[in-house]
Amino acid sequence: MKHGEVRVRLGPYLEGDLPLQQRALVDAHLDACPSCAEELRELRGTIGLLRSLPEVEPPAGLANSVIARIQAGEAQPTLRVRLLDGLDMLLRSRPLALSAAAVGVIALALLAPGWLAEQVKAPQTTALTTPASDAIARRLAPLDVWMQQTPFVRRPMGSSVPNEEAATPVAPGPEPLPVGSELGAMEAQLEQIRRDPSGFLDELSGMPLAERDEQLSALLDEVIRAGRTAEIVQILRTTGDRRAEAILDRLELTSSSASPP
Amino acid sequence: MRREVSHEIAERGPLVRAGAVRVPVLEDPDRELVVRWRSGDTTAFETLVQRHERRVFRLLVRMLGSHSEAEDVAQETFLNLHRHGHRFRGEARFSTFVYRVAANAALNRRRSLGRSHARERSLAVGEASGIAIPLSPVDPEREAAGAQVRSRVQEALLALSPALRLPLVLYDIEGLGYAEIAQVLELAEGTVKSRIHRARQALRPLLGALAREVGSGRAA
Repeated sequence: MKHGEVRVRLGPYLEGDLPLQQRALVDAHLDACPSCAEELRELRGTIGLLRSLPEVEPPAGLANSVIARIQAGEAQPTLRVRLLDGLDMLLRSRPLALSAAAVGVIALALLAPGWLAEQVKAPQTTALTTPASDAIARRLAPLDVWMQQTPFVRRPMGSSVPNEEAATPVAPGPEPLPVGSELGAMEAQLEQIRRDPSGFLDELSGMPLAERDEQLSALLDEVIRAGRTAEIVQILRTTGDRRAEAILDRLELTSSSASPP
Repeated sequence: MRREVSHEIAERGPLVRAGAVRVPVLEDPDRELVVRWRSGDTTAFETLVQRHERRVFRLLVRMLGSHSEAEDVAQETFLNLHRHGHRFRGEARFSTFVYRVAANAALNRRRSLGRSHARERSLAVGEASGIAIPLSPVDPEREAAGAQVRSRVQEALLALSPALRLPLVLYDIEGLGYAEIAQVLELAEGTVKSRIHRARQALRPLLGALAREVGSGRAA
C-alpha cells in the first residue's frame, strides 16, 4: 500500500471502521514507514488533546433568565415564522388548498414585494422548517441573502438526507485527496471563476444549501492546498458582490487552519 | 462517553430507514416533559432547559471560544427552542433537536459578528480554555502549563472552518455518534465521517507536536 492510500484510510483506521484485510495492509505499511506512523501518532495525540478539554459549567441562573425573557414575550414567533407556518399548515391539511395558497403568495409577492422580502430577510432563527415552508422560503428568498442562510436548517428531522458523497465508492471512507483529475477539476473551476465570477456565484446560489456548503468547502480546501489562495481572493474582491464577501470570510478562516502540504 | 452512546444506540430499539441515515428509534427521556411544555406548562420547559443547558453551553463555548458569548447564544438557543418548539415532531430525540438549534444559533452568531470578532478572539480563547474556571488545588506551575495547553487547543479549534469544527466538537467533545451528528447537521453519515477526519488532519500540524510534548511531560 502506498503513502497516499494509507493516509486516506487513517481516519477509518483510527475509528476501527476498516475491513480486516485493509487494516492488515495499513498495519504492515505503518510498521515499515516512519512518516505514516508519525502521522498516526500525531492524529492520536490531537484527538487525545481534544478529549482532555475540561468540562465547562453553565452560568448559574441561565434557566431563570430564559424563563424571564419568555414571560416578557421575547419568544413570540416572528411575523415571517407565523406566515410560513400558516401556509404550511394549510398545505399539509388540505392538498387542494395548495393552488389557493400559492395564488395567495404570488399575489402578496406582486402587491407587496418589499414587505414580503423584508419578512424573508428576517434573521434566520428558524431551527426546523417543513418541506412546504422551505419551498416557499426558497422561492421568495432573494439570491443576495443566500450566504446568510445557515446550511443546516432546511429539512425536517428524519426526512430524506441526500448522500452528498454518493459518487464516492466507499461511503464511510475518507474523501479522496486531490490527485490528477481532481487538481484538473480545480483548475477548471478556477478558470470558470476567473472568466465569470458572478456566474459562479449564481451557480452556487442555485444549489441546495448542504451541497453548496460541501462544494465550497472542497474547493477552498484544494485552493489552499495548491497555494492559490491569493489568486482567488483577488478575483472575488474585484466582483464587489456581497456573496463573495462570505466566501472570503470562510477562506480567511479555513486558510488560517490549513498547512501547506 | 462516545462509546456509551454507540452501545446504547446499538442495543436499543429497531432501526428504521430515513434517507441515507439509519435512524434508531429510541425511547426519548424528555418526551413527557415535551408534551407538558407544549400543552402550556412553563415549568416543564424550565426543567428541559436545566436538563440541556450543560450540553448547549459546552458546545457553544467550544464553537465560539468565549464564555460570555456562549451564555448569550445559549439564551438565544432556548428562546428559539421555545419559539419553534411546535416544529419538533418527535422523529428524533429531543436532545438532537436541541443540538441542532444550538448549532444554528452558533453559526448565525458567527455570521452576525463578522470579522470584527476576530480581534476579540485571542482574549476569549484564554477564557474558554478553562483558565477562568476555578480548579482543584494543584501544583501552580503544572496548572499554568495545563492552562496553556488548553488555550492552544481551543485556539486551534477556532482556526477551523465552522463546517469542520461543528462535527468535530460534536464527536470528540460532545461524544455523539455519527448517526446523531448526521441528524443534527443534516448531512450524510459518510460526509460527517470525512469532515471529522479532515478536521483532525487540519489540527494535526497545530497540535501534533503539542500532544507529543504533553505526552513526554506526563511520562517524565
